[in-house]
Amino acid sequence: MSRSSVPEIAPLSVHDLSSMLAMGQISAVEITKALIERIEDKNPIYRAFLTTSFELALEQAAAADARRAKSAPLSPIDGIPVALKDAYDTKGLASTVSSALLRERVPEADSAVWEKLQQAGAVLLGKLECTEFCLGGPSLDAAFPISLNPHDTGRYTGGSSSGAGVALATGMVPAAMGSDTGGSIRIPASFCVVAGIKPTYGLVSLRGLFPLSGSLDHAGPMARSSRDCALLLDAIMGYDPAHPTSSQQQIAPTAPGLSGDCRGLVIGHVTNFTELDAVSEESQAACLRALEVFADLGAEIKQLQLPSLWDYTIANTTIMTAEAYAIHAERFASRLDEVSDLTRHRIALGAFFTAEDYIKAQKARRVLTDQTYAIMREERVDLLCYPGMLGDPPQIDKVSRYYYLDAPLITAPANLTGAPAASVRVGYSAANMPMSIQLTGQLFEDGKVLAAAHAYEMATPEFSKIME
Amino acid sequence: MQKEEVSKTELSRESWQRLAEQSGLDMTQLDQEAVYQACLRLRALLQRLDKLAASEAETAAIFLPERF
Repeated sequence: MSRSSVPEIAPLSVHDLSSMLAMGQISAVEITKALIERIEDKNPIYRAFLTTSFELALEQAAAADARRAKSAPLSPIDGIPVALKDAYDTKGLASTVSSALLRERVPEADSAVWEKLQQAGAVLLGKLECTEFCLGGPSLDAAFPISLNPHDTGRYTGGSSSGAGVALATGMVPAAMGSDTGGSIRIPASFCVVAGIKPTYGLVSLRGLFPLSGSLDHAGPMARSSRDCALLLDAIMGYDPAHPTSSQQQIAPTAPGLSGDCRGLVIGHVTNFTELDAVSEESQAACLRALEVFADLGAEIKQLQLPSLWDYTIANTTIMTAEAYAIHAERFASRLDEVSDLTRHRIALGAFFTAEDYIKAQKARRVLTDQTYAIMREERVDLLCYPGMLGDPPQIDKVSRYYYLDAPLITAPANLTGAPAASVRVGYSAANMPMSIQLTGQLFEDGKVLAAAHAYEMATPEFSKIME
Repeated sequence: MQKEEVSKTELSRESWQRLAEQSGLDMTQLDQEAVYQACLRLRALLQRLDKLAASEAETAAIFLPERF
């Protein structure tokens, strides 16, 4: 087996590939060719990629190898293949947000995230399926076929960054970019058993990311480990004066802070989320077991309570739906029949909000955010921990149109408060379905979140694998 | 008159129908009963937020002049 064989390269992390490139054990072109072969093998089955850019990828990989030959100082992701959720604008390459309404859309400029990744030397393998307009899903009547969960093709991948979760889980790509407005990085990361972080709001520029709800949208990385997410986040974060939501407050690179232990860290176990009836007993138990691991790693565990999960959920849902409707109203008025069933029903709900409803939700957002961070300060906790999902991934055909009105959305608090939030895999349920926790932090403390997630992953390597 | 009607939790089907007509959405493309029921559910849940902030409280969306 050569060092560039597909089975050898497909499971490797960004960190491992970066080390091999640095030591001259492999070239960027060899990595890229192997992953192209992997995509050609797996994508017809799992459908993670909407568009591939293999010619461009091979050009970029050759350029990365040429840079390395000159011994120029390179970023850790120079020569590393990535793929982008189809919501990210890519100059000259289709960016459809998985909607028939945008089937012919080819942006004239790159998104800020893709600009940053190119500056860091990344190689673009293509664009990834997402649920339509980053909201609907899983729509079996969507214009583009939905990605399939490799752990059980009858179960939902989670959305909206569904293609990213699947491409990572099947070894088609080691790094991907997702986006998260109500959980769209963390849900597919959880259901596909990979890693993902929704960074602090404003840390990563939203310029060129097709909006779902501008005041709640977050751009962020997905990978197969939190260490890889740190390497990717370090490459894409930074103040962008060209976008109004970009924060001028920035942070030090997160990857150098990953140590593998949690001494000195105080983690707050959010008991009023964990013990909700909507959370399965298995998810509750998995969260408690994860906290024991953190305690073994040296963290202090405290129990605390936050405001009601329903309050976060309804404020997040109201803001998201109202803003999404404002974005799509004109498009929907003339072409609603071309939109998938779940997306048109969810976005149409925004037509029935009043200004009073929207402003009430924005007021609640401020109050809930104040309360959340005040509790963290008063309890002197660095991080919060609670279940990643309520339970197992649902069957694809069993996701209700308005599931977020049936049960609270456990990913919503971090969107509403802008907190950094990582999805960390913690094992499998009795049905052999993936389970996860969420770790969230104070604003701009993304490094602490990733350091704790990394330490957990180092202590539990048995949960890390790709699907053959 | 209409604003008072639609701000109530129990949105009548007639008021909802008027909002639907105003929206310009092609309602034949929607399961109207499902959307109407979702509206009622959402309005009921929105009442939860009344306890969090007074009507004259500031929103989260604050205009920051130093950003311009």
